[in-house]
Amino acid sequence: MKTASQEAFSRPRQGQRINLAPHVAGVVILVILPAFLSSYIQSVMTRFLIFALFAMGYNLAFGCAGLISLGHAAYFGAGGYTIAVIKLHYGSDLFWVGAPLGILVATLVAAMFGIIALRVSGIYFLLVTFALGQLLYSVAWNVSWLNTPGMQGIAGLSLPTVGIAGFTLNTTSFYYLVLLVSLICFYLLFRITNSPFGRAIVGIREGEARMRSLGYNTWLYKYIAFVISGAFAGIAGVLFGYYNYLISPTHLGVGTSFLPMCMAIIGGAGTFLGPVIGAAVIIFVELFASIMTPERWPLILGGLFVLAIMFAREGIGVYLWRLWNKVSHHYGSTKN
Amino acid sequence: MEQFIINLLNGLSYGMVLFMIASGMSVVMGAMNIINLAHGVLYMIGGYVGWTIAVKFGAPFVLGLLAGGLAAGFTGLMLERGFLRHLYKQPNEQVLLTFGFVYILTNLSLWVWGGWPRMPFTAKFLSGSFEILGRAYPKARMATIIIGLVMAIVLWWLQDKTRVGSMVRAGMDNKEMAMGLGINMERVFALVFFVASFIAGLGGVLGAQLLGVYNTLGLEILLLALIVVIVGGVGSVQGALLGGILIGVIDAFGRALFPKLAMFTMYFTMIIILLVRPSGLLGRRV
Amino acid sequence: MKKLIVFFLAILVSASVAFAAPEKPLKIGAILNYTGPAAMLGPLFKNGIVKALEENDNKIAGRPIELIVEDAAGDPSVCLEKARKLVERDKVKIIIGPLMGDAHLAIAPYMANKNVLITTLYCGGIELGKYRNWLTYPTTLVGLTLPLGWYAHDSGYRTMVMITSDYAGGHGFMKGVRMGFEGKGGKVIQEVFVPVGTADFGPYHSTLKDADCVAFFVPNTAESARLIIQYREFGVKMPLLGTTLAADLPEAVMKDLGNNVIGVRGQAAYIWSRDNPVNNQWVKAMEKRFGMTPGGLANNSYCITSAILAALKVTGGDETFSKLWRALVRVQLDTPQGPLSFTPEGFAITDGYIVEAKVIDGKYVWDPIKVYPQVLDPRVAK
Repeated sequence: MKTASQEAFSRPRQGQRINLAPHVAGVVILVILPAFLSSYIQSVMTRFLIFALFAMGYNLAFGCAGLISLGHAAYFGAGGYTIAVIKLHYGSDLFWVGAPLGILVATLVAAMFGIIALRVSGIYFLLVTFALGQLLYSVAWNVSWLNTPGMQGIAGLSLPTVGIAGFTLNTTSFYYLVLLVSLICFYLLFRITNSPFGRAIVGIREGEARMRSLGYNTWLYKYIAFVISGAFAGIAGVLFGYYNYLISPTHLGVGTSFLPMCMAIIGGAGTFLGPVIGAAVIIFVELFASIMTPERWPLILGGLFVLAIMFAREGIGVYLWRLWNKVSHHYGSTKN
Repeated sequence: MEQFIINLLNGLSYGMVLFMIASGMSVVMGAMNIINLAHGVLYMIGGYVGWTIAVKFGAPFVLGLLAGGLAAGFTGLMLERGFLRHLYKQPNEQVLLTFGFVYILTNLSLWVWGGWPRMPFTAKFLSGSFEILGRAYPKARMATIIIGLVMAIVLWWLQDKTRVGSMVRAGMDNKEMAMGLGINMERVFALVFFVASFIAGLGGVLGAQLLGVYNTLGLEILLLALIVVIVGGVGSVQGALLGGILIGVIDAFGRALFPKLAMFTMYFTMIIILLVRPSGLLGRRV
Repeated sequence: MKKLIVFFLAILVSASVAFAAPEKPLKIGAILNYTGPAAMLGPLFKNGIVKALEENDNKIAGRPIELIVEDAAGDPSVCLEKARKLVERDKVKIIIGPLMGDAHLAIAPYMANKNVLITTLYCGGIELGKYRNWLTYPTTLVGLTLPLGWYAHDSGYRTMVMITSDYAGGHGFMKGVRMGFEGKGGKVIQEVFVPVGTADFGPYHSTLKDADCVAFFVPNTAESARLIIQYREFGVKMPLLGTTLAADLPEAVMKDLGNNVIGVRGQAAYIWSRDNPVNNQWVKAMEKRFGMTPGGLANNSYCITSAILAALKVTGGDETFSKLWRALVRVQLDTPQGPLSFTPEGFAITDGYIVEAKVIDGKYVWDPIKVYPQVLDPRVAK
């Protein structure tokens, strides 16, 4: 059940046109501002975009379809491992080879795991997705083909090549590549969420029995949502592999699976751009906290989670939206 | 043959520790539909407090057990009364909140007890080994098996044979109905949560005989508990016992016979069970 | 939507402001473990670094030294992030750490062309030599444990069972034991691989074959202690040879272990009871400064930092990588650990000690019983 503010946030009402201006402004900022910042900040922004994408894709299954998955890192990691394996065993850095393959592998894994996981729901769904993620983790740990000799995981990854002679990507150009991919994906997700398919998914989350009585094949809808969400996680994973210079079994395990969930919840799982806000909050807070206090930073991060739940229950995105509304109404009324 | 018995005993003793941690989590999940990711940290706090009492202050081991259980129990109660009570039907929020507490409580434990791991410890009369079929076997492990079985019987009795137990089970099936019958579900829930956390703390001290206590235990044991709950099924003491024993024994034999694949055997078992019976071996609901 | 933009802007602006920093002093970065499985080691390593810096008044050639410490969190990915932060944002040219072998391998490709000096804290793999910007102290994984293999054979043992933690570091350390032992004519008849983070060694102890001795490596204190206790509980009688125990098990832990640890032997790069004027003085100074007897960890970071400072003295405070490296591989120091020098690829050449757990004057100590001087991994170029 959503409150009025969440409804307004997440999809346009009948006949209402989407207010494009703020979105365009946001995009412009993301394009222009980093050019003036150091390459270190650019790489932090890249990281933020990658996780925002991961969280947005995750939220298609989580927020829209109500599928509480605790194993999405499996698809994220699958994407990353694909490009890593291509680099390790075939020596190729080519983006146009690695990325599509990575997405394909991630989608296949999601398709397989989805069939197993969607046999149950609720808490069991959470447990099953967790189990499947851990299984993939232990496979990556043990199978020597998936490891650089001498360590767990694959090291020595680098920014991709794009096949243009003489042009190599650096931090800045990679940031823009990631930005481009993210914007395309956000747009695709927006179209999916606001299509009849998307509305059906939300309907299934809010009342599956009702949708079934209306003739919908609810299992199929949930499955497709799950697989698409896995595909987007795979895209994020591919980008992450390039960004991180290293992919390890941790990126398949529950520690990484938690991240998009936390980001979506903190930012507001019922809202479209909530996960992006959540990603920004978590990444920047974690950064600041661990710089300020290398020993006690988990207290700050944990405290943030607790406070967010207790005081901004529907997500920081919604909290800020309400705050904004309050402020603008206040000023609006004084003008009159 | 003796090798088989030794492996079996290893599996059972480890399995009992798993049972202790998983039973609380499973019952809370089943009765209150609460996902408490901080359950593993409660186990760890129990272990640390038990160590402080039994080793640092040299008090009898039983006191350490009690202290560990109480410390975990009250921490859990604080968690439930202060925070989880407001989040009853919201699994998302529960996940994030309890995860936040994992961070907080783990770091606080690091602060209080420092990063040095605590060695396995046990009661004076339980240290040393006795002879089984010509091989030495630690007394403490034998005691763990016995204590675990006793706890299992007590909990099963509580669940199936007492008024409180039937109230909990009624609440599991239909909370509104139970409340309509005049049962104060709030109090019942608080009690259940306290008992579950107490058992986790107790498990922490018992498990410390085998594993010691250290600051990454919180998450490690949580993962194991989740696996046991998946295998045994949500909501029942029997499920946690069966799951714990199964996982413990498979793990022990796996390590002895296929050392390279140890982690794998556990996850593999879990997946097989999931494919065959998604709600676990003795799960209450499908 | 507007609040989104405001929110974004706020974060970006505060981030840029926070990150803008002047850079005049000589910056040294350190990646140490403050959270995670090796959480207790971070402060110990830091002590060694701090002591070396303080001995130089926190200055070198007139430039003040600024130490920037980051948490490795026991995760190679995090180490990589921190390394990037140190190199790209803080613009350091010298990084001390990280500790873990897999973190080394994760960071090495990134660090390869950054012209930054980076060190290990407790051995590194032989692969680090080819990058020529790693200081591998006290030696390679193999070099550390070769003396234990030699010692086992010198003690009359001819067969051995090995318990090896199943990851790169574990394989590396035990390979040294095997090379040392079999190189002198011994035979390893069984190697049992235990997963990292094994809680319960019971199942493994129950399967050990009969040999003259058992050698083991597990990656941290908790596991070492559990392994030893469970070894005794299961009544295994073979002599036990640990590898990195003297660094892993300080006095407090040894006391906890009690009789279980007496008689266990291991090797150590450093042992505080080494009777030598330089060492005796250093131990006293460390006890006065930090209130506790220094162990191998503080010693390692102290010696590494001292070597770097010695090289910086030669270059006159110039931290340009090529100059620094050239000076560093020529450094020869008399450290509390023993004489120290380096190979052209940055591998340290140090003495190796064999120690035995004993109770002396009511205190649990690791007593040095043998020295193997100037140990060098045979695969390393001189």
